[in-house]
Amino acid sequence: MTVFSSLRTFLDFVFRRSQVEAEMEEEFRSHLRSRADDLEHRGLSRGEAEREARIEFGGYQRYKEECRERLGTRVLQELAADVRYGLRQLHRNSGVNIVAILILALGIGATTAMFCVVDTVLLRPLPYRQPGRLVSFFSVSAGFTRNLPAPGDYAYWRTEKNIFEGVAAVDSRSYTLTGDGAASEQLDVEAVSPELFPLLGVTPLLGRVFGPDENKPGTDHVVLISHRLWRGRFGGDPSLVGRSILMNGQKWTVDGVMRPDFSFPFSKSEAWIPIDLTPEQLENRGDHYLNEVVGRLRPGVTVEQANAELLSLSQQLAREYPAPSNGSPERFFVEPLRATYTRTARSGLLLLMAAVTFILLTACANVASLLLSRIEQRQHEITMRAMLGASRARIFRQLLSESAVLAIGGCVLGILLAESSLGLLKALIPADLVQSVPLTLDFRVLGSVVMILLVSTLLFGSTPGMRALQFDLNETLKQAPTRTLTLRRPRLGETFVVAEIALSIMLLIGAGLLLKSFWKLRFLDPGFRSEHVMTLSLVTPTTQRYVDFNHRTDLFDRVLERVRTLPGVTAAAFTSAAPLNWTGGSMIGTIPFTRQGVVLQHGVDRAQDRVITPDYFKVLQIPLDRGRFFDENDGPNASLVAIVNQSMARTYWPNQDAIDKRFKLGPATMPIPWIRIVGVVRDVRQMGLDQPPRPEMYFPYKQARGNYMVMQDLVVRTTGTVAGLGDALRHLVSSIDPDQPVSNVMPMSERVKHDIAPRRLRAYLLGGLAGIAVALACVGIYGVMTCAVAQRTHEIGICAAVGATPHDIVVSILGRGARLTLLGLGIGLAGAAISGRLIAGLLFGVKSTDPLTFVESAVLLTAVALLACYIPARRATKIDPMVALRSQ
Amino acid sequence: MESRAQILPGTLDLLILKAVSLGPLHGYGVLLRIGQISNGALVIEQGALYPALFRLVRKGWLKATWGVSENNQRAKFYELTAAGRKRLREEIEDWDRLVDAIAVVLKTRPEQL
Repeated sequence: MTVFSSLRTFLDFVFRRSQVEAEMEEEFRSHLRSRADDLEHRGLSRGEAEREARIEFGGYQRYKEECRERLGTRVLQELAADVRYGLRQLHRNSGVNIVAILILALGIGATTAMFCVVDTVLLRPLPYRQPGRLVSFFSVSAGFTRNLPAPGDYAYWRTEKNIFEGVAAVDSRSYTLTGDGAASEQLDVEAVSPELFPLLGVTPLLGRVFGPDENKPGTDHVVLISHRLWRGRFGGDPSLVGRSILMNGQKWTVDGVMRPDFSFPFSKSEAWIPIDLTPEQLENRGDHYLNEVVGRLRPGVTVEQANAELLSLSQQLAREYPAPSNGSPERFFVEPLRATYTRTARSGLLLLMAAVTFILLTACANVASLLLSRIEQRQHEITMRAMLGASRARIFRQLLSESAVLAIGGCVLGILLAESSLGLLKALIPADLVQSVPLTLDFRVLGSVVMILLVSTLLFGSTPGMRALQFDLNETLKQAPTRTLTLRRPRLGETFVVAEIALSIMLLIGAGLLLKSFWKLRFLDPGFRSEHVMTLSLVTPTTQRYVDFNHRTDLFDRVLERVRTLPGVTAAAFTSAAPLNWTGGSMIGTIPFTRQGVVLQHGVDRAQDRVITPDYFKVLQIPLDRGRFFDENDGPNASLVAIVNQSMARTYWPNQDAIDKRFKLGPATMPIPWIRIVGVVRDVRQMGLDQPPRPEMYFPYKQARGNYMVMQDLVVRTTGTVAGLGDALRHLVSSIDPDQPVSNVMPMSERVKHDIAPRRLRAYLLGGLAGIAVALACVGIYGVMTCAVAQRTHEIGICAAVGATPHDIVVSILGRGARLTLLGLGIGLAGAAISGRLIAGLLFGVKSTDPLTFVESAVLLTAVALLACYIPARRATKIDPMVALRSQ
Repeated sequence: MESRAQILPGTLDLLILKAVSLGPLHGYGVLLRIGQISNGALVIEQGALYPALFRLVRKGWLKATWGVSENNQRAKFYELTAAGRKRLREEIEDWDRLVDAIAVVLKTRPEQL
């Protein structure tokens, strides 16, 4: 039989079934008529002839059936009947079945969507050549466990030719792109070693990448631009290669355009220039400012071997330079590049992943017990069918198609759910993940999840029914429908319930801990007031017209003067970095200093420094602890002053008054003036709400001539709403200098929200999943208890007849439910205590074994579970003893 | 199939194909023709013919079209397709080979062994 003919048969069956049936009938009738005619000719009466024709023909229906079988439509016909029957069954028990379909849909939807996110973030290989051998470098120094590399360290790493094929450094910078008649733009530019491109194994779309000599200081300015920038700003003009563009007022020759999928080290990187590290810089091991140093391991070299080698290198360096910073010797390590990119997201994703796997298991268990209890009620019907001659295969097929109707409904709904929840989950992907891969529904993932649920549905939907047929049919039939239970089945259902309770309590505790962490952060005092504050960045290129310090301060003064005249504005200030603008736990922005009268045996004191205009503390309402704020008298010719935060005062002048203490930005022997502390302000969480405040010093902008921290963030406080203020500020800046780009326009409250957004999303998602798990567990326990009550109708009837009160009955049934719940709780609480450390890294201000959370979760779950048991228990008290006894 | 032993199992297809090869026939006609050319020696239970006809159509050896019978009734006529003609040739060859082989076996005498 060819494929084509079976297809045609199938289509015939679907579209012309009634016609095929009618034709068969007509053909048979025409045969009978012709035969009867012939017999009549031979002298029989018409009636006798027709009767004889029928006898000669044989089994009319049997042959019809055989013909259908020959056509190949019989199986289809039975299937159609089964599906119809299945739908009727569904309709009859619509409540139970809607629940089953919803459970399946939730299981499929949640699991698939989550798996897709995990696949995108954690599993898909990075888009570089042999990405498994790429590693990134870190140093452990100055109290930071993952400090950014210093150029001096990079210089040593690249000499380790035995372990690394190549090592490349990246320094992230910001350049202003002007010219072409378009608005000026602030670009994220990466200064990189020319080795980077061959090391990653990427080639440009147009032009070429830098040669090895182009990073020597003094050579021509060359730049590679991203595909996005090329298409967006330059209209995809291929003749751009070889021409020059204006960045920071200087000409840069475009050497090449990168491919659309290339991005490094961040997804927002727009252009790459050769890094111009001077010999002096290559000896600097104190300033850790390289954003990324990436290396390629030689084939066969493991990360562990590389780390062992780096450890001995750092020990050797510690001997050569006997003054390690901060007392503790510096240590280097590498980790796979992927781990670096996914570090922040990884633990959260794995947690959510575990949660959805729980949900999937619970969903399977639930649908299974739901189907079990349904089949249970139909044991009698199945036996009856078998008695009436239905074959085993036929019954099996029918049960199978009934569960298939359920499963398909669940799948369709589940796929829709997965598709629509992907949008929400997109926020889980870290923003600077290099891969700009879109998050789409992965059909391999979807396929496997659907398979798991389909198999479990079909398995539990059909096999238990078959068990009925293994018993003696007579024996089973003699029993009344309500007593056809075997003892094995409820055990299975109860096991499922215990497992569901255990899984839900674990999820509930996890969600509780995450929510508490989130709320702790949400209501944490960051040290500043973010309401009614607008922020934006005004990056003044030091190479262009504001290269001169006075020109720069002049621009800041003019902007501030105009901003203060805007309606509603009460205060405005510039700062080198608004809070939460730079985040993370690295050492960016710390500088060494020396306290007057303090001689350190080894190491240097370090603190973060910020340059501000006088009103900065007023705008952010950072309270003064002691001393005074800056004012207009702290000018370039006045004596040098600073304000420090409480952490700095506490750390470096413990048990003393920090006011009037002096320090200088460099060694004591350096001929620079001392700086006097005039004020102490409250600690501010600058680097992230979950990052503890670090020692910090503020300098007045007019005295910060030699400071390499250039002010760039404008903060403005208004009495009204911040909406519309952004546009007003943009307009104002461009009226002062049309070439000056404005970026990062954002209310301060948005920055705060952004900072905790991943935590909020994680907490809410896990909370939602825990809610689903609890609901599933309740459905499970409700189902099992309902079943138990139904089974024991007779027994309960007898109890009631001999004088049990409704109270006794409720207590006995609730007791059974409580036993299951407590068993599940015990297992789940133990599991939560053991697996607590998995979640510890995601918590803030709450321990993973927080007893309160454990108790709250247990109480909540017990209450809900007992409520689910109470409904069938109430129903049991309504059993009329007479009816129950008569039902036998 | 319950057909009485007048027909060797497996030969019904051959008979039908042969009957139809002599000209398009409706189901009852097939029956009559087999009876006619075998002089009534071969008898088939009438209904059993139809599953066989349906199967041959499914295999693509017969083609069915609706037409009008000799007594002016609508009837389904079967005719041989090209594939059916080829199949008939093969079946006849197989049959001949089988008959020859059996004939040889049956003629065997003890001294030939």
